Amino acid sequence: MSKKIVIKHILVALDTSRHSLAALEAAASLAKSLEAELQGIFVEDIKWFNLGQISLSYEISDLTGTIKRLDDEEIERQVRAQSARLQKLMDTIGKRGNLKYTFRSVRGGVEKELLTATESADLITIGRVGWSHKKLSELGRTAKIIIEETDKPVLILQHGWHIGNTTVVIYDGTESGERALIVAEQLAFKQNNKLMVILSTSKSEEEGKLKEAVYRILHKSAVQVQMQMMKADKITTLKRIVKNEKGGLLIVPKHHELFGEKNLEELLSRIPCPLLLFN
Amino acid sequence: MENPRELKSEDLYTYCNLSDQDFVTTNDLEELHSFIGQDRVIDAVRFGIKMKKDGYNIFALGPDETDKKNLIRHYLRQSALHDDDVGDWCYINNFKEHHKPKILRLPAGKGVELRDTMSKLIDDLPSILTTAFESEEYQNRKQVIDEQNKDEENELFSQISEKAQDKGFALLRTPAGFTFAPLKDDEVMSPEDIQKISDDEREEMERVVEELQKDLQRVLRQMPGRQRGMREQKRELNKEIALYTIKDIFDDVRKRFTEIAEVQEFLDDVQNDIVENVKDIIGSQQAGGGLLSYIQGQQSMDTGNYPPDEHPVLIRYRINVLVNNSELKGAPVIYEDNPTYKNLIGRIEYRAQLGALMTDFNLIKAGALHRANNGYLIVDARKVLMEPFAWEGLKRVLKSGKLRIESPGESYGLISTVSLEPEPVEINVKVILLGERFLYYLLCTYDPDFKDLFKVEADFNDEMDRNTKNQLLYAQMIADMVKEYNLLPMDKAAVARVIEHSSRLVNDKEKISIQTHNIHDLLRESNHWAEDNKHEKIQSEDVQKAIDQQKYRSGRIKDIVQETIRRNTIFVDTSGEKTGQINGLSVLMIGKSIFGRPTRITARVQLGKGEVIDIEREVELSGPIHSKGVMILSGFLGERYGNQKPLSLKASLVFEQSYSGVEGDSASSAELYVLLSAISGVPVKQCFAVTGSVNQHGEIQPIGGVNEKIEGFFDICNQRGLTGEQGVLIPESNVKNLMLRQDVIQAVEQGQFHIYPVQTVDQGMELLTGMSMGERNEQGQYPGDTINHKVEDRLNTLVERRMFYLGMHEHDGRKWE
Repeated sequence: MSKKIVIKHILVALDTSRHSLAALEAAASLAKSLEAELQGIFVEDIKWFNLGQISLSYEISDLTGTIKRLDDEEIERQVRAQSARLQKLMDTIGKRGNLKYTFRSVRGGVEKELLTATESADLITIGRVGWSHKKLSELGRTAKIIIEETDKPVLILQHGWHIGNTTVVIYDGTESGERALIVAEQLAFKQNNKLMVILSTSKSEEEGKLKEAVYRILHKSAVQVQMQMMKADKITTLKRIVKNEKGGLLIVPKHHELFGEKNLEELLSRIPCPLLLFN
Repeated sequence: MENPRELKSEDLYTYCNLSDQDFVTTNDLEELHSFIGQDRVIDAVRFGIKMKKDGYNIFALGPDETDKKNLIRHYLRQSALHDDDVGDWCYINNFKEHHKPKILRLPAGKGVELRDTMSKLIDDLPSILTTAFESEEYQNRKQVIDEQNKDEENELFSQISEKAQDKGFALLRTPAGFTFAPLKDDEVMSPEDIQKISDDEREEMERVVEELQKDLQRVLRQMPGRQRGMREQKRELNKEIALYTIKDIFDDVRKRFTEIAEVQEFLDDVQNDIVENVKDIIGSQQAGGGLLSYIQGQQSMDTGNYPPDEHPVLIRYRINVLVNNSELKGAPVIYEDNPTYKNLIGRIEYRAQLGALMTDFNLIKAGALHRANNGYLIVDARKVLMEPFAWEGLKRVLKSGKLRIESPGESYGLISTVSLEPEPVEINVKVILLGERFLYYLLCTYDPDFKDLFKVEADFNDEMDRNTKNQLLYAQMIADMVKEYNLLPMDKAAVARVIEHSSRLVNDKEKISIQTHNIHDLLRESNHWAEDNKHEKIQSEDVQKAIDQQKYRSGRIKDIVQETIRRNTIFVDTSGEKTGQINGLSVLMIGKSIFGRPTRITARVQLGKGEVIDIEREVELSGPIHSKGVMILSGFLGERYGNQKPLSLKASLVFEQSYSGVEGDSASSAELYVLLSAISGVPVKQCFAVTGSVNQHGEIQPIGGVNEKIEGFFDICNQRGLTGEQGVLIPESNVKNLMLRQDVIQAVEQGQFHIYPVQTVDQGMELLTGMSMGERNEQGQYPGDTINHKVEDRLNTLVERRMFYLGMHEHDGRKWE
């Protein structure tokens, strides 16, 4: 068995959107399995506070369409309320799961603050999209930037997705593929899940090598492991495997050819399960 | 006067002669398939069964020792076989008013079939629906709806955003909505830049913002309507998918119950309900949404996972088979052993959920009346009367013909909780109450509803005539019992012994007891002793052993009483002569034990005004019948000796060493004998004991317990040693009741013990004293050496003394001449 990858701090980016809450739930589940600390962060967008100083600023209510002047005081009140709700939510989740957790609100640029926070984390969980009006197949701006900028594993969640009973990992023989496989094995073991390893190569003659590598990496593992080859029309094949295996968590190397920006968005729209990208 | 003849051994016992019956053991006897000696009851039961009008329920009355239940059940089952109007009773959900479950009557066996079919459907439903709703097609169509709406929304927001950008503004998200921020070089202006703007520019910017805001408002106000529209589209999609998915399984169910319109109607309701609640049904298969619910303000973190039996939607489709008659042949015949209110009427159970008591139609439980519907219900009257609310509940059902389940607590407003109002069941049941006679008479007297509801009286006989035909029937009944209880076969002599014992049980050699419980016990115990003796069949000696052991087990008190007499703690003379003292006989009944014992009765006479004082009555130790017996003595004395002169005596009578109450008039003849002895001074032979009541003419009348009384005195004499003189005087009319023990009969045969049947006081007195009573001659005088003469002489003396003391003068306004 290869060296363990230690995940001791799981960062979860919070707002009150549905996808962000799904990310929190998944992060809590992982934190419990891995005995890691859950770090909740809520970024108070600095733009809101700048707007408060502009005399032209009005807020049109999302719910009722009513218009009211937007000033510093109002912004502060709303942000405090949001932060308090998230703090309470973290407390509930932490106590319910008997977790070690922290929560903090920071003020600044959203992406910048989140990227700073990722430095002390071993894994980042984030909702596919926040409050912005995006198509169902699109990634949110913040998620995109975090995926691009950070070298840490990123777990992408959407409302309605759950970490199921089978962990699926794509192994392509690269270093990040190996790390993905190791983490997948660790998670499957901790969560008492089945592990499905998808061997990804365009050359059929490399299939044997990949299998050997998997045996080498997992030779001491107590997890039930299955392997399958992924051939042409990869997303369709992947989708079928995930569906047949009732797959929950899908772990993939971040720079796999499958996941260019558009492919990633297509994958997220076609395979409805939590996705963990590994560097 | 002619002395009564002494009874011979053949008068003391009537043996059962089965020699002309052609059987060796009970195995050779034909089964009786009937109940003997109960013709009146059988006719009453048959009448009650055939009489279909309201109120013709049956009260079977008789002693507990009679096996009323078996007889009634036997005839009810025979009748029930011809009834085919039975079915299953089910409760189903009422989809319009959930708290009022509906009753469903189905042909027998269909209830369970429907329950199992629906149960399987319910088990399959979540997975079938989940599969359909997770299908590619559904997900695609749903996604199309979502995408379409989302795209339309995005398009609207994009238009606003683009328009804003054209006019130099950016559309930004705030914590609670949107805002427009002025741009400079594609970046939001800083407050400092804003400060630098001229008033005209500011005014123009405000106008533009106002216009953009109005546009945005228009878009935002469309959102609820758009969301509603999207939900409607999804609902229609869900309905289409759900109906398509469940169509096949519902068609299968419908085919199985084509003929039953109520089931078809129920299935329609279920189908509609599934379509309406498909989301909740699928939710039972899926977890999730907990955090969102929480952040949206709901405190519960419940994920919506329920055990299959508790799912709030799926349980509505279950069938609660209240009564399953699939295995029944004919109408039901139910005996309810524990007729509490709930066991009769049914009940609604509750389950605790988060500290509250919840219920639904699946928790309705049947009562005995449900099970007996269109059939017969047998209930013990005493038990039903002792259970709170049960009697009133039973009457209410019989009067209304409807069985409505409600707890007494709710009826009386004692409990207030979420409950149900199940649809009442139409009841057509014949109720048979079993009870003792006094209960029947009490109910007739004190319950005004009773006679209207229980019009058929089935009064059980306690005994029947003992003749050759009936003895054979009795033997067949014994054979039936032997087979029913799986006992060893019984030989002819043993059967005869049982019949003889049965006569003894009713204290009548011309009758046989049909209180079958006693016979059951005797047979089972005889079987035990036969097995103990390693007999292959029950023999006469086994029966005798069973009888002896019964007596022995319950004979402790009898032995103690006899011992106290034997050791002269209680004084009873069995030899010699005494004036004013006699042995009376009484019967004690303690639990199962009945035995006779002699009691010394004494009399004393003094000058008085013609009173006979019963000391027992004076100290309130006697019952009214005993007091009446003593008062009769005054009538006899007055008629025989007081026609010419007033009775001027005061006589006192007492049961010596009696420390408890005395009741009955069976000692009144003994009291008269001892009184005559005390007045006349003629001693009474103590070797005799006496029983019998007496009337004012001096005739000896029959009494009860004659066998026990004779045996009680015999035992004392026997323990002291029989002298050949001892014996008992019994009423002549009690001779037919004699079924004495063999040791008594043997003593009589050997002349060691004597039993005399007496018709009059005169006969008895002559036997007891050895002196003639005497009859009045033409002058109205009794001859000299007779008891009557001595009595009259003594009474005359008392009159003279009284007159002396009164000074031959008027007394109480009257003059004695």
